[in-house]
Amino acid sequence: MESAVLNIDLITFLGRLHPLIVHLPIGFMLLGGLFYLLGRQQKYEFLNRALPVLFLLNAIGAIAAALFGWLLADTGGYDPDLLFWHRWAGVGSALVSILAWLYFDGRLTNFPAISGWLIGLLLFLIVMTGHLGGSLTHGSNYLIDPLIGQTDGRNTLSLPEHPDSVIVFRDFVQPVLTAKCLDCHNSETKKSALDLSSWEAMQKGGKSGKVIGASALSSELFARVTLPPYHEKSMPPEGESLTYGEIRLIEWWLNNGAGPESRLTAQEIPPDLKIVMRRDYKFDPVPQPFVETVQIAPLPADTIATLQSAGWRIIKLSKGNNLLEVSPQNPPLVNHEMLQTLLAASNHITWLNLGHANISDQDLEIISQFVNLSRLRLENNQITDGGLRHLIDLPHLESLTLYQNPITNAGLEAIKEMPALKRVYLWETGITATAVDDIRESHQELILETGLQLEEMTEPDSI
Amino acid sequence: MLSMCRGGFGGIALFGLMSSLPFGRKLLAAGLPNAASGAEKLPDFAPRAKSIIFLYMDGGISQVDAFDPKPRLDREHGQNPLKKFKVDATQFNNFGTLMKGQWNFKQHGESGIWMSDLFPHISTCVDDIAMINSMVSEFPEHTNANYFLHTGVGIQGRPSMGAWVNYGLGSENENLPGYVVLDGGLIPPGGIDNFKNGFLPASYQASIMKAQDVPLTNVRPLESDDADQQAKLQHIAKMDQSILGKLGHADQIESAIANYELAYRMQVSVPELSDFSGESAAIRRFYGLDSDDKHMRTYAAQCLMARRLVERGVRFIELTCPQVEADRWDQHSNLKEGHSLNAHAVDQPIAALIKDLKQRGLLETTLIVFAGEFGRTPFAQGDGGGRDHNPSAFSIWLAGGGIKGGTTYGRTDEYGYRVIENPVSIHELHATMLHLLGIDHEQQTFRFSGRDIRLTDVHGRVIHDIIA
Repeated sequence: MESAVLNIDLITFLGRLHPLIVHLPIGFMLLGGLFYLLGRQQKYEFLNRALPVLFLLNAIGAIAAALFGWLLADTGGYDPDLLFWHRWAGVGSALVSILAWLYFDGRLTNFPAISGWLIGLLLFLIVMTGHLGGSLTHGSNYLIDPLIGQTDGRNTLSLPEHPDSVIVFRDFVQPVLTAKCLDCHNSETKKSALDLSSWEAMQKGGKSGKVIGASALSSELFARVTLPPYHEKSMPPEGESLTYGEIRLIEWWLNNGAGPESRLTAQEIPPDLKIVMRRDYKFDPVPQPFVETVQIAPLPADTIATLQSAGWRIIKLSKGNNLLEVSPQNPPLVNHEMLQTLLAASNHITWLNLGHANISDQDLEIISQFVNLSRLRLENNQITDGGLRHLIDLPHLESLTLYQNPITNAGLEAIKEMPALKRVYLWETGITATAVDDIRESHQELILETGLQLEEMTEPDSI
Repeated sequence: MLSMCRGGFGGIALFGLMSSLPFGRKLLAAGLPNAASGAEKLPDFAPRAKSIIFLYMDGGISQVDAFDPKPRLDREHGQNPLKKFKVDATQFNNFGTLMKGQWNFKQHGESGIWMSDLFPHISTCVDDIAMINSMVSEFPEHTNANYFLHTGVGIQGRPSMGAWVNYGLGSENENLPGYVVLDGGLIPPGGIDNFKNGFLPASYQASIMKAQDVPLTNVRPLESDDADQQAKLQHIAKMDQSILGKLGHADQIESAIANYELAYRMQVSVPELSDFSGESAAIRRFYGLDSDDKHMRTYAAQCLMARRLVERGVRFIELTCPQVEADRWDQHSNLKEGHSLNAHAVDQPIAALIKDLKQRGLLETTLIVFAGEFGRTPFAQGDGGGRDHNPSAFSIWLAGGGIKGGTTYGRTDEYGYRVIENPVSIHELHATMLHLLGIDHEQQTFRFSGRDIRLTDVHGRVIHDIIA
């Protein structure tokens, strides 16, 4: 048998006995304190005789615990700040324990009567050391989390509510670097000539290599954070490593060009990353329809009743969504006064059906005040090009149905200016196919539906 | 047009008349299942689609002839399938040779979705379609497969998907039922139990109409004047109320009263619905109402009426197939001719329906589902030029209301015999349909037989990959 297999790490072994050993002095010390208190009663006076031996055992235990703890700390992997305080609180406890033994054993002559103070100090030190030790092993909020109703301790970034607004670098990558790399690689310290404090600074890379390469696998940063933690080049060298989710996000960002402004929803998000974002960040990366992003208090019941008696049909979008779909109970009866009643719900109306309802240009001025309007049906009315200008300030209007209205090519100018417009229906208006083709060139995201032209209605080659 | 149904010119007079009747308002106060209470039923989350048009392709279209091209079948045409792959028992167990697709396939639109020349019109709509090539059913026989497709359970007597939708959302139009079946002439195997309410209250079952002048039998009053009819109805209402008072809440009677009420309102709404005089000649021609093929005319009227029902707020509309001069899509022999006749009748009207809804801005809120109960085998049945049933793989498509157009989902093996990627069960189809209407298929339940039952029972998941 080769001797090389005898790779005994006695130091680590002893160090790992620390959590076991620490409980001995705690037990002796508590028992000593209890005997001391009881011994002040006449009935239990005899207990005072046990104090010297209890505090001797306590002192031996405390020294052993501190020694083993020192060995364990050397194996690494602990939060340096917490470790510092725990280490010296532990050493302090051991020293005070020795003092306590000397005192109770009567070896300190001409010493003031401080027995109560001494025990109090020892108790305080041990509680503090113990708490710091627990925090080192379990995390700093382990003890009080159950009391303050903490989450599972996962990442709680303040992300924008809507996935479209998330910028990968700013919202996912930079917070990780700030928390885990910037202690050393900031704009002042620049350890290994690497500054990760901004995207611009990252372009330079560091002494060992590039941060941003052609892909994640050519990035030194990605290589370092994925090394095994015992490797001497593993990053970060101290403190918490990057989580799987953080590494995965950085990898994806690096593989997609690592731009400073690239948006989360600009490219296909891989399925595993969607899971990571939902699990680690409580964030749903699938873009939500506008109506699901609006939080609004319900419209008061009496307002709804008033609108209903004015001739409107009012439907909440869903059980949990207080936005409203509004239609006239009897479209031909709609007039300007009736439309004005809707101003009472101007923040709530998101779908509005006003087809065949005698809507003319000035009526649209009322509609222009419905800030959350996303779908507007205006088919078969008397709307002209000028009227459409009222709608260009609606910030969320996505779908606009305008078929069978006397609109001409001039009306397309207003349509081009509508900021959120995605679909517009222009069948049987005065708008020509060539004018629409021009817009399609300049506004590729906008769907302009011109409907059936007579020549399209001929049959394709039959079977 | 919308005006007329939502209490338009005739409606006003009728409503005045309604409130004088002893039923009507009183029933509403009692909180009974009633079409008028539909407005109070809210979806679980904001809906993508407000209506569903279910184009039921009775009998089982052959996927390898229509939607799922298989070049290997062309190469191995005439060879013995038993030497190629494991063949399951089929209904007739009469295995012929491998049979190539009978129509040429092409890629269509910007999305390049494959479709054969069997559907020359529908193939112009592929960019609005999500094609699922990986449907699986559990039943190789029509009746059970139809019950499964329609109710989520392969046995008779469960509520139809349309009844579940009606139960969940109600009709947006108090003068029309929430669930309408437009009868093209073919009753599906399994009969009208495919459209029933099952254990749900009876007012949620389908109203079966024909797309013709008088869509609903007896909708025109026989009485010479209103007063006569009112007197009769008041008498019926009195009797109903008296027995209801004795029985307490009895679904059959409550639903019967609700149905009387609705029938009364439909005296105005239904004739208006089937009056196509307001439709332009171009539109009528586009749907195929002037076709030489009378079956196309039938289906064109169904499709046009479906659009009119959607405009009037009806939630779930199912179209059954016309009876062409061959069997339903169930070609156990002579597939070339039978599929041609069936396709010719429905192809142009369906494409017209999609495009007409689209130009009116209604396709974004209307989900169209084109599906049969199963597919057909890649090998012939005997030597008659037909194919047997295949529940292990078939193709359906969805379009409109929240669907990501131009998507192809799922894959079959090189013969189109079995699914090899992303199988989609009927439960998953149902879950996705309900999801698009804003209904959480896991939350919508009805207590029956000692437990809460769903359309998807204990199954189903939403196919997010085909949702925009």
